[in-house]
Amino acid sequence: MPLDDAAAVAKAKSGDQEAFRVLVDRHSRTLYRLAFRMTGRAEDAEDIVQDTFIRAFRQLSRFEARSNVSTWLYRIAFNCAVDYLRSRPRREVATEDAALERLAPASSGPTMDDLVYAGEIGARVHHALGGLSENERAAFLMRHYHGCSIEEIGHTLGMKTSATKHSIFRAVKKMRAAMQSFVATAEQRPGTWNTQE
Amino acid sequence: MEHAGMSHDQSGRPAPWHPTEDELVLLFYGDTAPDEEARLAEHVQTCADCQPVWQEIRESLAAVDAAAVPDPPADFERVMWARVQAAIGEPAPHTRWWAPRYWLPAGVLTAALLTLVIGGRLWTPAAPDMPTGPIGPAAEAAQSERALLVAMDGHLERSELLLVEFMNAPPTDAVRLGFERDTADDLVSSGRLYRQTATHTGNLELAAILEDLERVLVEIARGPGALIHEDLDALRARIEEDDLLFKVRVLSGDIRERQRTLATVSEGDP
Repeated sequence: MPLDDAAAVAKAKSGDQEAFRVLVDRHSRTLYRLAFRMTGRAEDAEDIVQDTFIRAFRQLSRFEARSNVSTWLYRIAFNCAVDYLRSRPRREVATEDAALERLAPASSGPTMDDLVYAGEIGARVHHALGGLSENERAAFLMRHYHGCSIEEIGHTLGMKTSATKHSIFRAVKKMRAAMQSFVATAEQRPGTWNTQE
Repeated sequence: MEHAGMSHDQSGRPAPWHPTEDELVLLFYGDTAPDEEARLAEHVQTCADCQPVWQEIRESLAAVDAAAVPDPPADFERVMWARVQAAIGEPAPHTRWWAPRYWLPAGVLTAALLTLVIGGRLWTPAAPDMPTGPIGPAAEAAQSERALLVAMDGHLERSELLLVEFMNAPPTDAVRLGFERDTADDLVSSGRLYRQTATHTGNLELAAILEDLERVLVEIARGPGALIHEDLDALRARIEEDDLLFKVRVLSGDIRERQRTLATVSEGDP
Protein backbone atom coordinates (compact mmCIF):
# COMPACT_ATOMS: atom_id res chain seq x y z
CA MET A 1 0.00 0.00 0.00
CA PRO A 2 1.51 3.36 -1.01
CA LEU A 3 2.52 5.77 1.73
CA ASP A 4 0.23 8.71 2.28
CA ASP A 5 1.80 12.17 2.34
CA ALA A 6 2.03 12.46 6.11
CA ALA A 7 3.67 9.05 6.47
CA ALA A 8 6.08 9.83 3.63
CA VAL A 9 7.13 13.08 5.32
CA ALA A 10 7.57 11.31 8.66
CA LYS A 11 9.81 8.65 7.13
CA ALA A 12 11.72 11.18 5.04
CA LYS A 13 12.42 13.15 8.22
CA SER A 14 14.30 10.14 9.52
CA GLY A 15 16.46 10.07 6.40
CA ASP A 16 14.45 7.73 4.17
CA GLN A 17 15.03 9.17 0.71
CA GLU A 18 12.73 6.65 -0.96
CA ALA A 19 9.90 8.04 1.16
CA PHE A 20 10.75 11.52 -0.06
CA ARG A 21 10.64 10.17 -3.58
CA VAL A 22 6.98 9.30 -3.01
CA LEU A 23 6.29 13.03 -2.59
CA VAL A 24 8.26 13.88 -5.72
CA ASP A 25 6.36 11.28 -7.74
CA ARG A 26 3.01 12.39 -6.37
CA HIS A 27 3.28 16.17 -6.54
CA SER A 28 5.73 16.98 -9.36
CA ARG A 29 3.14 17.41 -12.09
CA THR A 30 0.81 19.59 -10.07
CA LEU A 31 3.68 21.83 -9.02
CA TYR A 32 4.88 21.91 -12.61
CA ARG A 33 1.52 23.25 -13.76
CA LEU A 34 1.55 25.94 -11.09
CA ALA A 35 5.13 26.88 -11.97
CA PHE A 36 4.41 26.88 -15.70
CA ARG A 37 1.49 29.23 -15.26
CA MET A 38 3.59 31.46 -13.05
CA THR A 39 6.49 31.65 -15.52
CA GLY A 40 5.10 30.63 -18.92
CA ARG A 41 8.15 28.50 -19.71
CA ALA A 42 8.66 24.75 -19.45
CA GLU A 43 12.36 24.94 -18.59
CA ASP A 44 11.73 27.48 -15.84
CA ALA A 45 8.87 25.39 -14.48
CA GLU A 46 11.12 22.32 -14.30
CA ASP A 47 13.79 24.27 -12.43
CA ILE A 48 11.21 25.62 -10.01
CA VAL A 49 9.85 22.15 -9.27
CA GLN A 50 13.39 20.91 -8.64
CA ASP A 51 14.17 23.84 -6.34
CA THR A 52 10.87 23.32 -4.54
CA PHE A 53 11.71 19.73 -3.63
CA ILE A 54 15.29 20.57 -2.67
CA ARG A 55 14.04 23.32 -0.35
CA ALA A 56 11.32 21.03 0.98
CA PHE A 57 13.86 18.32 1.77
CA ARG A 58 16.03 20.80 3.64
CA GLN A 59 13.03 22.14 5.54
CA LEU A 60 11.58 18.76 6.49
CA SER A 61 12.41 19.24 10.15
CA ARG A 62 10.30 22.41 10.17
CA PHE A 63 7.22 20.72 8.71
CA GLU A 64 4.46 20.41 11.25
CA ALA A 65 2.60 17.12 11.26
CA ARG A 66 -0.82 18.78 11.39
CA SER A 67 -0.14 20.78 8.21
CA ASN A 68 -1.20 19.72 4.76
CA VAL A 69 1.71 18.53 2.62
CA SER A 70 0.24 19.92 -0.63
CA THR A 71 -0.21 23.34 0.92
CA TRP A 72 3.31 23.25 2.30
CA LEU A 73 4.72 22.35 -1.14
CA TYR A 74 2.58 25.02 -2.82
CA ARG A 75 3.96 27.61 -0.46
CA ILE A 76 7.53 26.62 -1.23
CA ALA A 77 6.84 26.44 -4.98
CA PHE A 78 5.22 29.85 -4.93
CA ASN A 79 8.23 31.35 -3.14
CA CYS A 80 10.60 29.65 -5.58
CA ALA A 81 8.60 31.00 -8.53
CA VAL A 82 8.57 34.52 -7.13
CA ASP A 83 12.33 34.38 -6.51
CA TYR A 84 12.76 33.12 -10.03
CA LEU A 85 10.61 35.82 -11.60
CA ARG A 86 12.36 38.53 -9.64
CA SER A 87 15.75 37.31 -10.81
CA ARG A 88 14.64 36.96 -14.41
CA PRO A 89 15.21 40.00 -16.61
CA ARG A 90 12.11 41.43 -18.23
CA ARG A 91 13.46 40.73 -21.71
CA GLU A 92 13.32 37.02 -21.04
CA VAL A 93 9.56 36.97 -20.70
CA ALA A 94 8.18 34.53 -23.25
CA THR A 95 7.22 35.95 -26.60
CA GLU A 96 3.64 35.98 -27.76
CA ASP A 97 4.31 33.40 -30.48
CA ALA A 98 6.07 31.04 -28.14
CA ALA A 99 3.26 31.41 -25.63
CA LEU A 100 0.76 30.66 -28.36
CA GLU A 101 2.55 27.48 -29.26
CA ARG A 102 2.93 26.31 -25.69
CA LEU A 103 -0.47 27.21 -24.40
CA ALA A 104 -2.44 25.60 -27.20
CA PRO A 105 -4.82 22.98 -25.84
CA ALA A 106 -3.44 19.47 -25.57
CA SER A 107 -6.72 17.64 -26.16
CA SER A 108 -7.07 15.66 -29.38
CA GLY A 109 -9.72 16.07 -32.02
CA PRO A 110 -10.26 19.82 -32.45
CA THR A 111 -10.25 21.41 -35.89
CA MET A 112 -7.47 23.72 -37.00
CA ASP A 113 -9.78 26.69 -36.38
CA ASP A 114 -10.40 25.49 -32.86
CA LEU A 115 -6.68 25.18 -32.27
CA VAL A 116 -5.98 28.65 -33.58
CA TYR A 117 -8.84 30.09 -31.58
CA ALA A 118 -7.83 28.33 -28.38
CA GLY A 119 -4.24 29.32 -29.06
CA GLU A 120 -5.32 32.94 -29.17
CA ILE A 121 -7.10 32.48 -25.87
CA GLY A 122 -3.97 30.86 -24.47
CA ALA A 123 -1.85 33.81 -25.49
CA ARG A 124 -4.41 36.21 -24.03
CA VAL A 125 -4.57 34.30 -20.76
CA HIS A 126 -0.80 34.18 -20.56
CA HIS A 127 -0.58 37.91 -21.21
CA ALA A 128 -3.31 38.65 -18.68
CA LEU A 129 -1.66 36.51 -16.02
CA GLY A 130 1.52 38.48 -16.64
CA GLY A 131 -0.40 41.66 -15.78
CA LEU A 132 -1.41 40.43 -12.33
CA SER A 133 0.60 41.12 -9.21
CA GLU A 134 2.49 38.17 -7.78
CA ASN A 135 -0.06 37.60 -5.05
CA GLU A 136 -3.01 38.04 -7.40
CA ARG A 137 -1.52 35.59 -9.86
CA ALA A 138 -0.68 32.98 -7.27
CA ALA A 139 -4.07 33.31 -5.57
CA PHE A 140 -5.92 33.08 -8.87
CA LEU A 141 -3.89 30.11 -10.13
CA MET A 142 -4.34 28.22 -6.90
CA ARG A 143 -8.08 28.91 -6.74
CA HIS A 144 -8.98 28.57 -10.38
CA TYR A 145 -6.71 25.82 -11.66
CA HIS A 146 -5.78 23.90 -8.55
CA GLY A 147 -8.98 24.14 -6.54
CA CYS A 148 -7.29 25.30 -3.33
CA SER A 149 -9.58 26.76 -0.69
CA ILE A 150 -9.33 30.42 0.30
CA GLU A 151 -7.95 29.35 3.68
CA GLU A 152 -5.24 27.23 2.04
CA ILE A 153 -4.29 30.04 -0.31
CA GLY A 154 -4.16 32.54 2.53
CA HIS A 155 -1.98 30.19 4.54
CA THR A 156 0.30 29.58 1.58
CA LEU A 157 0.69 33.24 0.70
CA GLY A 158 0.75 34.45 4.28
CA MET A 159 -2.37 36.58 3.87
CA LYS A 160 -5.56 36.99 5.86
CA THR A 161 -8.80 35.59 4.45
CA SER A 162 -10.16 38.98 3.42
CA ALA A 163 -6.92 39.94 1.69
CA THR A 164 -6.88 36.58 -0.08
CA LYS A 165 -10.43 37.07 -1.30
CA HIS A 166 -9.64 40.55 -2.58
CA SER A 167 -6.59 39.25 -4.44
CA ILE A 168 -8.83 36.72 -6.15
CA PHE A 169 -11.50 39.34 -6.89
CA ARG A 170 -8.97 41.70 -8.44
CA ALA A 171 -7.44 38.88 -10.47
CA VAL A 172 -10.84 37.72 -11.73
CA LYS A 173 -11.78 41.25 -12.72
CA LYS A 174 -8.60 41.57 -14.80
CA MET A 175 -8.98 38.13 -16.33
CA ARG A 176 -12.60 38.88 -17.27
CA ALA A 177 -11.52 42.09 -18.96
CA ALA A 178 -8.89 40.17 -20.91
CA MET A 179 -11.40 37.51 -21.99
CA GLN A 180 -14.12 39.97 -22.97
CA SER A 181 -13.68 39.72 -26.73
CA PHE A 182 -13.75 35.92 -26.62
CA VAL A 183 -16.92 35.90 -24.59
CA ALA A 184 -18.55 38.38 -26.97
CA THR A 185 -17.86 36.12 -29.96
CA ALA A 186 -18.62 32.89 -28.22
CA GLU A 187 -22.15 32.64 -29.52
CA GLN A 188 -20.87 32.66 -33.10
CA ARG A 189 -18.72 29.59 -32.41
CA PRO A 190 -20.82 26.56 -31.57
CA GLY A 191 -18.94 23.65 -30.14
CA THR A 192 -16.22 25.64 -28.43
CA TRP A 193 -15.82 26.22 -24.71
CA ASN A 194 -19.13 28.01 -24.28
CA THR A 195 -20.95 25.92 -21.72
CA GLN A 196 -24.16 27.89 -22.08
CA GLU A 197 -25.04 26.25 -25.38
CA MET B 1 -21.49 46.90 -14.16
CA GLU B 2 -21.06 46.49 -10.42
CA HIS B 3 -24.10 45.05 -8.74
CA ALA B 4 -24.63 46.29 -5.25
CA GLY B 5 -27.55 46.30 -2.91
CA MET B 6 -29.49 49.60 -2.80
CA SER B 7 -32.01 50.31 -0.16
CA HIS B 8 -34.43 52.39 -2.26
CA ASP B 9 -35.06 53.27 -5.90
CA GLN B 10 -35.70 56.77 -7.32
CA SER B 11 -39.36 56.71 -6.42
CA GLY B 12 -38.56 55.87 -2.85
CA ARG B 13 -39.74 52.28 -3.03
CA PRO B 14 -37.47 49.54 -1.68
CA ALA B 15 -35.08 48.56 -4.49
CA PRO B 16 -34.68 44.90 -5.36
CA TRP B 17 -31.61 43.28 -3.91
CA HIS B 18 -28.78 42.18 -6.24
CA PRO B 19 -25.59 40.38 -5.35
CA THR B 20 -22.28 42.11 -6.02
CA GLU B 21 -19.93 40.80 -8.67
CA ASP B 22 -17.57 39.64 -5.95
CA GLU B 23 -20.38 37.58 -4.48
CA LEU B 24 -20.97 36.05 -7.89
CA VAL B 25 -17.28 35.17 -8.12
CA LEU B 26 -17.54 33.43 -4.75
CA LEU B 27 -20.62 31.61 -6.05
CA PHE B 28 -18.74 30.50 -9.14
CA TYR B 29 -15.94 28.99 -7.06
CA GLY B 30 -18.30 27.43 -4.52
CA ASP B 31 -17.05 29.67 -1.72
CA THR B 32 -20.49 30.85 -0.64
CA ALA B 33 -22.09 29.61 2.58
CA PRO B 34 -24.57 26.76 1.81
CA ASP B 35 -27.73 28.70 2.72
CA GLU B 36 -26.53 31.78 0.84
CA GLU B 37 -25.54 29.67 -2.15
CA ALA B 38 -29.10 28.45 -2.76
CA ARG B 39 -30.47 31.96 -2.54
CA LEU B 40 -27.85 33.35 -4.95
CA ALA B 41 -28.24 30.48 -7.40
CA GLU B 42 -31.96 31.00 -7.56
CA HIS B 43 -31.56 34.75 -7.91
CA VAL B 44 -29.17 34.63 -10.88
CA GLN B 45 -31.52 32.24 -12.70
CA THR B 46 -34.48 34.55 -12.38
CA CYS B 47 -33.11 38.10 -12.24
CA ALA B 48 -32.91 39.75 -15.66
CA ASP B 49 -30.22 42.17 -14.42
CA CYS B 50 -27.98 39.58 -12.81
CA GLN B 51 -28.31 36.77 -15.34
CA PRO B 52 -26.10 38.34 -18.05
CA VAL B 53 -23.46 39.30 -15.50
CA TRP B 54 -23.45 35.79 -14.08
CA GLN B 55 -23.24 34.32 -17.59
CA GLU B 56 -20.35 36.59 -18.53
CA ILE B 57 -18.43 35.61 -15.39
CA ARG B 58 -18.97 31.92 -16.10
CA GLU B 59 -18.00 32.24 -19.76
CA SER B 60 -14.95 34.36 -19.06
CA LEU B 61 -13.62 31.99 -16.46
CA ALA B 62 -14.46 29.00 -18.64
CA ALA B 63 -12.46 30.64 -21.43
CA VAL B 64 -9.48 30.89 -19.11
CA ASP B 65 -9.57 27.09 -18.91
CA ALA B 66 -8.92 26.86 -22.64
CA ALA B 67 -5.31 27.83 -21.96
CA ALA B 68 -4.01 24.39 -21.21
CA VAL B 69 -0.56 23.74 -19.82
CA PRO B 70 1.45 21.31 -21.95
CA ASP B 71 2.06 18.07 -20.14
CA PRO B 72 5.64 17.42 -19.10
CA PRO B 73 7.26 14.30 -20.59
CA ALA B 74 6.09 10.86 -19.50
CA ASP B 75 9.26 10.26 -17.49
CA PHE B 76 9.04 13.65 -15.78
CA GLU B 77 8.81 12.23 -12.25
CA ARG B 78 11.79 9.93 -12.77
CA VAL B 79 13.98 12.69 -14.19
CA MET B 80 12.82 15.09 -11.49
CA TRP B 81 13.73 12.61 -8.78
CA ALA B 82 17.16 12.08 -10.36
CA ARG B 83 17.72 15.85 -10.33
CA VAL B 84 16.49 16.25 -6.79
CA GLN B 85 18.45 13.28 -5.50
CA ALA B 86 21.62 14.57 -7.10
CA ALA B 87 21.17 17.78 -5.13
CA ILE B 88 20.14 16.40 -1.76
CA GLY B 89 22.82 13.73 -1.65
CA GLU B 90 23.20 10.07 -2.27
CA PRO B 91 21.56 7.39 -0.14
CA ALA B 92 23.94 5.02 1.60
CA PRO B 93 25.42 2.73 -1.05
CA HIS B 94 24.23 -0.86 -0.99
CA THR B 95 27.69 -2.06 -2.01
CA ARG B 96 30.01 -3.01 0.85
CA TRP B 97 31.74 0.10 2.07
CA TRP B 98 35.18 -1.46 1.80
CA ALA B 99 34.73 -2.21 -1.91
CA PRO B 100 37.80 -0.78 -3.67
CA ARG B 101 35.68 1.16 -6.16
CA TYR B 102 34.60 3.44 -3.29
CA TRP B 103 37.59 3.95 -1.07
CA LEU B 104 40.46 3.82 -3.54
CA PRO B 105 39.56 6.78 -5.76
CA ALA B 106 38.03 8.68 -2.86
CA GLY B 107 41.20 8.37 -0.77
CA VAL B 108 43.53 9.39 -3.55
CA LEU B 109 41.31 12.24 -4.64
CA THR B 110 40.63 13.56 -1.19
CA ALA B 111 44.34 13.73 -0.45
CA ALA B 112 45.04 15.48 -3.72
CA LEU B 113 42.08 17.85 -3.45
CA LEU B 114 42.75 18.75 0.16
CA THR B 115 46.27 19.76 -0.71
CA LEU B 116 45.04 21.89 -3.56
CA VAL B 117 42.17 23.43 -1.67
CA ILE B 118 44.40 24.28 1.25
CA GLY B 119 46.86 25.74 -1.23
CA GLY B 120 43.97 27.74 -2.71
CA ARG B 121 44.49 26.53 -6.24
CA LEU B 122 43.06 24.22 -8.80
CA TRP B 123 45.58 23.90 -11.57
CA THR B 124 46.37 27.54 -11.78
CA PRO B 125 49.65 27.62 -13.68
CA ALA B 126 52.52 26.39 -11.55
CA ALA B 127 55.20 28.95 -10.95
CA PRO B 128 58.09 28.19 -13.29
CA ASP B 129 60.53 29.26 -10.64
CA MET B 130 59.05 26.93 -8.07
CA PRO B 131 61.64 25.83 -5.55
CA THR B 132 63.29 22.59 -6.50
CA GLY B 133 63.93 19.68 -4.23
CA PRO B 134 62.23 16.44 -3.44
CA ILE B 135 60.36 17.44 -0.25
CA GLY B 136 59.43 21.14 -0.44
CA PRO B 137 55.74 22.20 -0.16
CA ALA B 138 55.71 23.43 -3.74
CA ALA B 139 56.94 20.06 -4.95
CA GLU B 140 54.26 18.34 -2.88
CA ALA B 141 51.63 20.60 -4.37
CA ALA B 142 52.90 19.83 -7.87
CA GLN B 143 52.73 16.12 -7.11
CA SER B 144 49.16 16.44 -5.84
CA GLU B 145 48.21 18.45 -8.88
CA ARG B 146 49.62 15.75 -11.12
CA ALA B 147 47.60 13.12 -9.25
CA LEU B 148 44.47 15.23 -9.61
CA LEU B 149 45.06 15.81 -13.30
CA VAL B 150 45.54 12.10 -13.92
CA ALA B 151 42.35 11.29 -12.01
CA MET B 152 40.35 13.99 -13.78
CA ASP B 153 41.73 12.96 -17.13
CA GLY B 154 40.47 9.44 -16.44
CA HIS B 155 37.11 10.78 -15.29
CA LEU B 156 36.63 12.85 -18.43
CA GLU B 157 37.84 10.09 -20.71
CA ARG B 158 35.35 7.61 -19.24
CA SER B 159 32.60 10.23 -19.41
CA GLU B 160 33.40 10.97 -23.03
CA LEU B 161 33.33 7.28 -23.95
CA LEU B 162 29.97 6.89 -22.24
CA LEU B 163 28.49 9.92 -24.01
CA VAL B 164 29.82 8.75 -27.36
CA GLU B 165 28.28 5.34 -26.74
CA PHE B 166 24.87 6.91 -26.21
CA MET B 167 25.19 9.24 -29.17
CA ASN B 168 26.07 6.33 -31.46
CA ALA B 169 23.64 3.75 -30.08
CA PRO B 170 21.82 1.96 -32.93
CA PRO B 171 18.13 2.80 -33.44
CA THR B 172 16.68 -0.29 -31.80
CA ASP B 173 13.44 -0.55 -29.85
CA ALA B 174 15.16 -0.49 -26.46
CA VAL B 175 18.74 -0.02 -25.32
CA ARG B 176 19.61 -2.23 -22.37
CA LEU B 177 21.78 -0.56 -19.74
CA GLY B 178 23.81 -2.44 -17.19
CA PHE B 179 27.46 -1.65 -17.33
CA GLU B 180 26.61 1.89 -18.48
CA ARG B 181 24.55 2.60 -15.37
CA ASP B 182 27.30 1.33 -13.08
CA THR B 183 29.84 3.43 -14.94
CA ALA B 184 27.62 6.49 -14.75
CA ASP B 185 27.08 5.85 -11.04
CA ASP B 186 30.84 5.80 -10.42
CA LEU B 187 31.32 8.92 -12.49
CA VAL B 188 28.59 10.80 -10.60
CA SER B 189 30.39 10.19 -7.29
CA SER B 190 33.83 11.24 -8.46
CA GLY B 191 32.50 14.07 -10.64
CA ARG B 192 30.66 15.58 -7.70
CA LEU B 193 33.89 15.77 -5.74
CA TYR B 194 35.60 17.60 -8.61
CA ARG B 195 32.65 19.92 -9.05
CA GLN B 196 32.49 20.85 -5.37
CA THR B 197 36.20 21.50 -5.31
CA ALA B 198 35.98 23.61 -8.45
CA THR B 199 33.17 25.62 -6.85
CA HIS B 200 35.07 26.12 -3.61
CA THR B 201 38.18 27.24 -5.42
CA GLY B 202 36.19 29.69 -7.57
CA ASN B 203 36.61 27.86 -10.88
CA LEU B 204 32.98 28.41 -11.79
CA GLU B 205 33.35 27.68 -15.48
CA LEU B 206 34.73 24.24 -14.74
CA ALA B 207 32.07 23.71 -12.08
CA ALA B 208 29.33 24.57 -14.59
CA ILE B 209 30.61 22.04 -17.14
CA LEU B 210 30.92 19.36 -14.48
CA GLU B 211 27.39 20.13 -13.30
CA ASP B 212 25.98 19.73 -16.82
CA LEU B 213 27.86 16.47 -17.14
CA GLU B 214 26.65 15.30 -13.75
CA ARG B 215 23.00 15.87 -14.67
CA VAL B 216 23.27 13.62 -17.70
CA LEU B 217 25.21 11.01 -15.76
CA VAL B 218 22.58 11.06 -13.02
CA GLU B 219 19.85 10.49 -15.60
CA ILE B 220 21.71 7.46 -16.89
CA ALA B 221 22.62 6.11 -13.46
CA ARG B 222 19.17 6.55 -11.94
CA GLY B 223 17.20 5.76 -15.07
CA PRO B 224 15.51 2.51 -16.03
CA GLY B 225 17.47 -0.60 -16.97
CA ALA B 226 16.43 -0.22 -20.60
CA LEU B 227 15.92 2.98 -22.55
CA ILE B 228 13.13 3.13 -25.07
CA HIS B 229 13.80 5.00 -28.28
CA GLU B 230 12.12 8.22 -27.08
CA ASP B 231 14.16 8.28 -23.87
CA LEU B 232 17.34 7.79 -25.82
CA ASP B 233 16.42 10.62 -28.19
CA ALA B 234 15.70 12.89 -25.23
CA LEU B 235 19.05 12.06 -23.67
CA ARG B 236 20.86 12.69 -26.94
CA ALA B 237 19.03 15.98 -27.36
CA ARG B 238 20.17 17.08 -23.91
CA ILE B 239 23.78 16.12 -24.65
CA GLU B 240 23.60 18.09 -27.89
CA GLU B 241 21.81 21.09 -26.43
CA ASP B 242 24.43 21.46 -23.72
CA ASP B 243 27.21 20.88 -26.24
CA LEU B 244 28.43 18.48 -23.63
CA LEU B 245 30.64 16.23 -25.70
CA PHE B 246 32.48 19.22 -27.13
CA LYS B 247 32.97 20.78 -23.69
CA VAL B 248 34.27 17.53 -22.23
CA ARG B 249 36.75 17.19 -25.09
CA VAL B 250 37.96 20.77 -24.69
CA LEU B 251 38.38 20.23 -20.96
CA SER B 252 40.29 17.01 -21.56
CA GLY B 253 42.56 18.87 -23.97
CA ASP B 254 43.23 21.59 -21.36
CA ILE B 255 44.09 18.98 -18.75
CA ARG B 256 46.48 17.13 -21.01
CA GLU B 257 48.13 20.40 -21.94
CA ARG B 258 48.54 21.16 -18.26
CA GLN B 259 49.99 17.70 -17.68
CA ARG B 260 52.56 18.31 -20.41
CA THR B 261 53.48 21.67 -18.88
CA LEU B 262 54.00 20.08 -15.48
CA ALA B 263 56.06 17.30 -17.02
CA THR B 264 58.28 19.86 -18.77
CA VAL B 265 58.81 21.77 -15.52
CA SER B 266 59.57 18.50 -13.75
CA GLU B 267 62.10 17.46 -16.40
CA GLY B 268 63.81 20.83 -15.95
CA ASP B 269 64.34 20.11 -12.26
CA PRO B 270 67.81 19.01 -11.24
